[in-house]
Amino acid sequence: MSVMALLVKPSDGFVETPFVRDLVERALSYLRAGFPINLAGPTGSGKTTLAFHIARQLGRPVVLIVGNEDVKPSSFVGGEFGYSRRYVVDRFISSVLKVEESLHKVWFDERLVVACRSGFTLIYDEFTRVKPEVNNILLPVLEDRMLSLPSAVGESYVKVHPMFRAILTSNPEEYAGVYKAQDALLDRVVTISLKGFDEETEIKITMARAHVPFHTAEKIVRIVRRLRESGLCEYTPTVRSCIMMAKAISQQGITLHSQAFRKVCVDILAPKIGRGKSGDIVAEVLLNEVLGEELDERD
Amino acid sequence: MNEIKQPVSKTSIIEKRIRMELEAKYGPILDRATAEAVERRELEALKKRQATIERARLKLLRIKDVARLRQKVRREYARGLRDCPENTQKHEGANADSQVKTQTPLMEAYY
Repeated sequence: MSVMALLVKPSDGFVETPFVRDLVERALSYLRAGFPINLAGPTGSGKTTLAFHIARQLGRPVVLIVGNEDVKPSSFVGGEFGYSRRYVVDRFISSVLKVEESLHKVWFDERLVVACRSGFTLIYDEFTRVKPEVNNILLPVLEDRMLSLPSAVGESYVKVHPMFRAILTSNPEEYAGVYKAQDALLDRVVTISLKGFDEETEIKITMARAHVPFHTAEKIVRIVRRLRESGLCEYTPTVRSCIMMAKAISQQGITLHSQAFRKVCVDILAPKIGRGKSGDIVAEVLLNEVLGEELDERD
Repeated sequence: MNEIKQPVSKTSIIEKRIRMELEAKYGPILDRATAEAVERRELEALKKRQATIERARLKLLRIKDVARLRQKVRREYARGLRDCPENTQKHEGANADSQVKTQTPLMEAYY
């Protein structure tokens, strides 16, 4: 059982626009100055992908921790897992039988210890999904560059490697399943708010991920952005919806002006607009309006 | 009845005297067959002793070889323990004296 670090590389679907470059440069300037960053933004704003991209620019292996309810302090520093049993029978002198048997727990380092010790980049994805008291373990790491370990380990502290950097990502507080981050942690990080990508970036992402032509990607992105900007959606549609729609019509060979495209829009976007009977009505009206306007523009 | 006395030769008297002197000095003089038998027994005993010594010598050499082998095994075993991947996970604290750092395994990931 050992921690594996990641060597992150961009996939074919990764796009870099001036918007992304500007964001990455800002983040890198803080990281190079020694400050951890927190990419905060709603679902689909590209936090995790950006975190990986920024980490790649730092040129160090990456250790990823994904936040969830079950994360405990031992998920960061490690613990004693399993047993190691050693049984030795020494019969060197035939008249003497010497038997030694020992049984002891084995300590394993977890990701934070490995990252701190080796100077890797830590990506702590969705840290607000973890109980705030668990995240307290990060405070001395980020501030005093010192990681405190349980006394049973043998050594009490790990000195944080000078190359160690931390990139956190978080959802805003109003999202379900997240905790309020403690002030002490927020005070130690530079929080960069992500409000979603600009139109150019969304079009390029849709093109790259779904392999559709510019015109198709542009129409889909505009439909989604108009819905998003209407403020009537219960759940804001993100660039993921654009990619889903583009992939769906690309694989089925659907054209933008067909009834099948409207069905794809309803399937993917209507649940975001609203639920229940009234939600369905709003969705129908809104989608008809947006689709009508967007698709008529070309003609 | 007159006893007929055998003439005693002068040579045999001299031989007898010399023999007595020699026996007084070196112990009883054995005949050739007895002497050869004694010599054979002594030779056998000597050979046995030599064989015993040789066996002891070989045993000692074997013990030395085994000791050397055991030392080698111990060294290899200790080295194996040091280089064992699970030991790289131990800490460098007071409780860990036989650990060495190895590189963390890397896996490619695409974003």
